[in-house]
Amino acid sequence: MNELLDDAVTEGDVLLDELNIYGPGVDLAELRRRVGIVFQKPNPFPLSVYENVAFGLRLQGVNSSRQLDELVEEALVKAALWQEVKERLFDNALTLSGGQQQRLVIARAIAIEPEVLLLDEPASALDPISTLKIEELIYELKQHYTIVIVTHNMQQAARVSDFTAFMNLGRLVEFNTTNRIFTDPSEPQTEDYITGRFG
Amino acid sequence: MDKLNLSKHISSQFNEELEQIRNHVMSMGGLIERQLYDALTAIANNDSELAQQVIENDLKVNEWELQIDKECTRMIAKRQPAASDLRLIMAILKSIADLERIGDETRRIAKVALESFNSDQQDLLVNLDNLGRHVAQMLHDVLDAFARMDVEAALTVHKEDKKVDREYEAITRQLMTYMIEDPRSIPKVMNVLWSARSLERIGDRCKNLSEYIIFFVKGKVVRHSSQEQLEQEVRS
Repeated sequence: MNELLDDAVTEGDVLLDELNIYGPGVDLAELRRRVGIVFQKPNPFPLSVYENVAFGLRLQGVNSSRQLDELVEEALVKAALWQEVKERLFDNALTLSGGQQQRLVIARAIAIEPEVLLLDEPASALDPISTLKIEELIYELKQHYTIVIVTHNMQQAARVSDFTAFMNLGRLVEFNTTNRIFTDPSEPQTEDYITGRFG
Repeated sequence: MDKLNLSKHISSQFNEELEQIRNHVMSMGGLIERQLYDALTAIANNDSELAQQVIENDLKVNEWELQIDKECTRMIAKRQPAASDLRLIMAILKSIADLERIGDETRRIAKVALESFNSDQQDLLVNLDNLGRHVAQMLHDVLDAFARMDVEAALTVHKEDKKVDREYEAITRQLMTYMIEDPRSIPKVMNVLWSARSLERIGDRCKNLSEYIIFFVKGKVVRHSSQEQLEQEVRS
């Protein structure tokens, strides 16, 4: 995406294992399989619930309907959505509630077994109950995936993460364990931000 | 008050609430300091009226504890304080518990004094004058350190507790000789011993208070550390 902007500048490296994702010759399709992304606004495809999850699997060449059924169910169970949608798998995904849509998008992302799940403000457009469901889901999923969550809600960062990075205007100010960041941060700027003294 | 940085929140209401809690702790501390001073004066002057007043005023100390406790709980629920704000609230919650216990010890001293005025043991109680003044000074200094969140001053109070312990031991030995010389004096001496013990405990609690100051400023838990470790933490 950055290449599309004339004035975009990237410095430093983003490493996935040993691979610099901005390096030359990186296979973007492969990168996107390894890193699943979920955005702020739920963006299910205007297809059925089932087809949303099956979409990536089909692209990967899974065609047997029995295998697809199994993998779709597994992803929906993992995304804590199965119980709510098992009777309406063939309804249009856009008829689900916002919180359900967001969990569906997470199910779609984890169906293809990524290594990293990048969640960009996954709960900011959701009500408190749906937010807690997503947080609970993050807690479950972190046993199996590396989860990177971007959030402006500091209490959310404190609740769901093991490590916290504080970034300000594109620069990494501080990185440490979440426990440390929220009780005794090293950088005055971090302290000011998390205690609401910024600006 | 720059070290506390209480007035820099974007939310001015948060600033006010924090400042208010801190002021209340200072008021509670001031009241307890007064109580201890009055209890010691009552002993020195055989003033049973003053001793009685100290006993009654302890209720006010208890009320302060409940009040500040409630304010801190509300603050946690409503503002989710983090980092230094959280450490301040935690330090205050712990401090008021120790302050309340200092209040209890002070009331006990006043009670023993009141009982002893009805008998003839004032001469024995005079023994406590030095220890009393020493402990009162510690309390004054630690409250002062709290007001400024001054770790160096807290460290000085922390060291002082060793001296208080030694004075207490000396008094205990002295009182034991009384008991050996005249076993009939034992009940009276025991009363004095209880008061000495109370003063020594107040010293311990002042030491605790100094540790909460260090926790707030440095973010380090220094309870149960040796004096050397403590100094290292404070100066690091």
